[in-house]
Amino acid sequence: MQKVSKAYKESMKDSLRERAYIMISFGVVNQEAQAKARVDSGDFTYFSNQGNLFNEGDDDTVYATLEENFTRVDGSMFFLPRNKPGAAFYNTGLVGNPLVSEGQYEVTINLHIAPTDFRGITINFGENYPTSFDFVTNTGQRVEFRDNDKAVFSTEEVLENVTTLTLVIYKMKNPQSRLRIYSFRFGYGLVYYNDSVMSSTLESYVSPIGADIPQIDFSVQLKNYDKYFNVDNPKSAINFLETGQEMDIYYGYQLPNSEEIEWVRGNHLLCSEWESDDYTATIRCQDVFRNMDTEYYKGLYAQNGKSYYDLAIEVLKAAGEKEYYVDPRLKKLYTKNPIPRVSCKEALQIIANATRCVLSQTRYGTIQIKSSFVPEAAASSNGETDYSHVANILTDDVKDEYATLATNYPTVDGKMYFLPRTASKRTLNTGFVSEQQSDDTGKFTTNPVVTIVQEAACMYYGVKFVFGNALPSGMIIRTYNNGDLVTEYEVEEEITKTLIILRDFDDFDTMEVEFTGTAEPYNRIILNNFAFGDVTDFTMERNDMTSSPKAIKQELVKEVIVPCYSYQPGNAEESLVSEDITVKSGDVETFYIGEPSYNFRATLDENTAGVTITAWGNYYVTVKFSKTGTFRLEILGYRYKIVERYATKSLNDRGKSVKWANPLISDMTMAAELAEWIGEYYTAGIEYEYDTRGNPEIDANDIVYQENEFHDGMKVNIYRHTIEFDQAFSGKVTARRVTS
Amino acid sequence: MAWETPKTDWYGSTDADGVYTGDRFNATDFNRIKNNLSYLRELAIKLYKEFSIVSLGADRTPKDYFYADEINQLEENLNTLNTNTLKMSYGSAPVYNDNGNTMDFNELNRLEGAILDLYDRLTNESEGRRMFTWNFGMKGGDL
Repeated sequence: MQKVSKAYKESMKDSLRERAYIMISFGVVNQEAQAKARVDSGDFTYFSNQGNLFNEGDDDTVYATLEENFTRVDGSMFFLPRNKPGAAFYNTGLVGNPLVSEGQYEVTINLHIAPTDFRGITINFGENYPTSFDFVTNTGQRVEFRDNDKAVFSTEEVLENVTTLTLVIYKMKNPQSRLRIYSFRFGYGLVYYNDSVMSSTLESYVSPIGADIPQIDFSVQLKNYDKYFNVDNPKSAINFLETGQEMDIYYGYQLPNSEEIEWVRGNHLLCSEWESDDYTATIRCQDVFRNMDTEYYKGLYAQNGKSYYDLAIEVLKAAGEKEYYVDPRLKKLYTKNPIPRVSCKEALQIIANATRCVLSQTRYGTIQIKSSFVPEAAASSNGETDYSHVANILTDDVKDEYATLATNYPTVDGKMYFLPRTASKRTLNTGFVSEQQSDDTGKFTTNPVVTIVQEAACMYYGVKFVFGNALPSGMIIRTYNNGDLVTEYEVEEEITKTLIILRDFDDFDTMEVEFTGTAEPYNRIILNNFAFGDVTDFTMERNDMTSSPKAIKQELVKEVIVPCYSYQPGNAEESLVSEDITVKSGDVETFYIGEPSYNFRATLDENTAGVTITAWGNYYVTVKFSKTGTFRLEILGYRYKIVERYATKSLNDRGKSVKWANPLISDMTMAAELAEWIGEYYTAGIEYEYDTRGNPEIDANDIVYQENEFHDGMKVNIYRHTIEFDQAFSGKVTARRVTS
Repeated sequence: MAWETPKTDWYGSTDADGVYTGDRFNATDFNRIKNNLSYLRELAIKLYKEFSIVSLGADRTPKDYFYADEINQLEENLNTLNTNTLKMSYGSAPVYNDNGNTMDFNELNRLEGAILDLYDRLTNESEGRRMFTWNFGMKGGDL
C-alpha cells in the first residue's frame, strides 16, 4: 500500500471523486522531483500560474500583452481579463512580472525532497525564450547557458545534491519582454499527461506464497491524430523508444477544494513493444523479471550451509541487478542444497519461497525479497525490577501488580499484591516495571526504554499500550529497519491507561519506546501489555466496488506436504561428459550437467594430461586445454543421491494433497515452517473477483479489509490488481481471503 | 496629438514548421491607433458639431497590458467619429471578450484602414473648405 494523505483517502471514498491524472515519462525524468517540486514565491504577474509548471503545460494558450514583438496578429492569442475579483484565467504557465530588460530576473524552484541528483533539464519557454541564463543550485553549482536559441530548452547537464534550483535570466530573445515558462521537467525525454493519454491499464500480480514469478503489465494508448507516433514519421517519438527503455508512471488525484494534485508513483517498467495507426499509438511495458532469463548454473552444495541472503545476492549479481532489497532475516537462514539449474528469476522465486518471503518489484523498479508473514517479536528493556517480566508485555492477558509506595500508585481496592521479601517468591504474572524511578518532577535520570525486536521487518498501522496504575507523562516511539531509523514519533495523544496510537509505521524490525517521565512523581513505568495494530487501515467497501464480488470457493486441501531434501554422496564415479572434441591449446570450455554432481575429474583420451578443471559447481564444469588436436574428453564425477523427508501440515479430513517441492529446503524446521505458511494460504480457500472505482495506492499482495455481509472484519490479500485510467480511475481486484 | 501614418499592411502567418512569421502588435501600435483617433476627433470637431470620444488614457509601454474592453473602445471611438462625421461604411467590428481570441490582422487592417480613410477625407474637407479672403484697410490699393 502506497502512502497517501488523509485528504486523498477521504476524497477517494466520497461518492463523487475529484479529477484523476496520469503522467508517463520515457527517458531520464526524475519523477519524484517532478511530482513534488514547487516554485518559491516571487514577482509574478497577476495571471501567472506557476503552480502548474511541473504538470502538463503547453504554449498553445498565451495572453496577448504589449511586450516588444510579442503579440501575434493572427488571432491565436487571448485577451487578458482585468485583475479583479472573480476573474478566471487560463493556465498560461509562469509569467514573470518585471521586464527582463529592467534587470536580471530570478525564479527559484524548491524540490521538496531530500537532496537529489538529476541528469538534464527540459524547459518550454515558448517562442520568446531567454538567450542568456544560469542555473544555480543550493550547493552553489552554477551552470551557464549563453546564446540559447531554443524555445524548448534541453540540457543533459548533471545537477547534484539539489534541493533548490534558481534560474537566473539575463537576456530574452525579444527586448522589453517577460520570462514565461510553460513547463519544466527534471530530466529529458518524453512526458505525456492526460491530454495525450486516451487510456491505460496497469495490471500487477504477485503470488502470496511465491507460486509464480510476479508479473506487471502496462499498456497505454496515446492520441496520434497528428501522426506524431507513426513509425514511418522520421520525427516520430516512436523512434525514441527502445526495447527495455525505462518508463515511469505516476497517477495523480486532485485534492478536494485545492489546486494541489497528489501524485502516487505507479511503477517503473521496461518498454516491450509498441504500435501505431493513424489515430492511436499503443505502448506496452513489463516488469523487470520478464526478461531475466539468464540461467543460473552455479549452484553448489554447502556442507556447513550457506545463508539464503548470500544466495540471493549471488543470483541478483548473476542477473546483472544492482539495486535490490533482500530481507536481512535471510542472513540467519541457511540451506545446504545447491540452487538448481533454472533462470535467475526462478532462482529468486525459490529462495523467496523457502524463506516465507514474497518476491516482487517495487514501484521504483527494484527487486525485493521481503518476509510475508506476521513475524515473532521479543521485548527487552534497558532496566527492569527483579519482579518485572518485560517479555510478558507481548501476551494479551491481565497482569498482576505489586503495591509499592510510589506516589498515588497503590490502589485500595485489594487488587494489588504484597511484594514478597524473597526475590525468588516474586513470581506473579507482571508486565514491565522499570528499574528507573522518576524524581519529584516526574523525570528520570535515565529514561526507561522498551525495545521490541521482530524476526522480520513488517509495517503496522497503529500500536496499543496498556499501562498499570502509573501512567507515563511522555513517550517517544522510534522504529528502525536493519539499524536505520525509519520513524521517530513523540506521542501527542493524551496518555491513558489504554493508549492506542493510530498512525502508519513503515517497515521496521525494531521498535524502541522511550518513556520521558511519569504523570506522578516518584513512580516507575508499569507497562502491562503491548500490541502492534493492524497491517492496514484500508477497507474495500461495497461503495468502492462497481460490480458484485464473485466469490470462488477453491478446492479443499487435505494437507500440505513439504519435502526436505538431503544430499548424500554417490556410491560410484560416473562418466558425466563423454565427447570427441577438437581443441586448441589454451581453449576453455564449460560443460553443463543435468543432475547435481561433484568430485569431478577430466581426461583426454583417458589421460589426465592436457586438460585441467578451472571452475566447477554441482551443475557445471569448466575445463582448460593445454593440448591441440582431436581427443575423447571425459568428465567423471559422482552424482548426489537425494533423499526426501516430509513435513506435513494437515488442514482438512478431505480434499487434495498439495506437495510443495522447494529444492532448497534442507532442514525439517524450515520445511515445517514452510508447510505451516503454505497451509495458512490454503486454509481460507475463498477468492473474490470484482471491479472497483480504482485505487492507485493499492499494491498487489496488499492485505486489506473487505466489506462482507457475513464476515465482519474480513481480511483479504489482493494478489491481482488492475488500475485503469480513462481520464478517471477504475480497477479490478482478485483477492484471497486471509485467515488470521 | 500628432498624426502618425496608420499601418494598413498587417499580416499574420505561420510557416510549415509552425513558426509564426507575421507582424506583432506592440505598444507603439496601440498608442498610434489610440492617438490617431484622438487626432481625428480634434480634426472633426473643427468641421462638424462637437462630439466626444472616450479617452483611453496615457500612452502604453511594453510593460503594460491591454484588454478586450480597450480594443472594443477603440472600435467604438472609430464608430463615434464616423457616425458624427462622414458616416462611411467600414464594416462591423467584432466584440472582444476577456479570455477570447485577440484581433487578427484583418481586423487591424480594417480598423487602421478606416482611420486612414477618415483622415484623408477629413483632411480633404478641412483643406478644401470655401474660405473668404479678408483684406483689411487697403481701400483697393496695393501694398
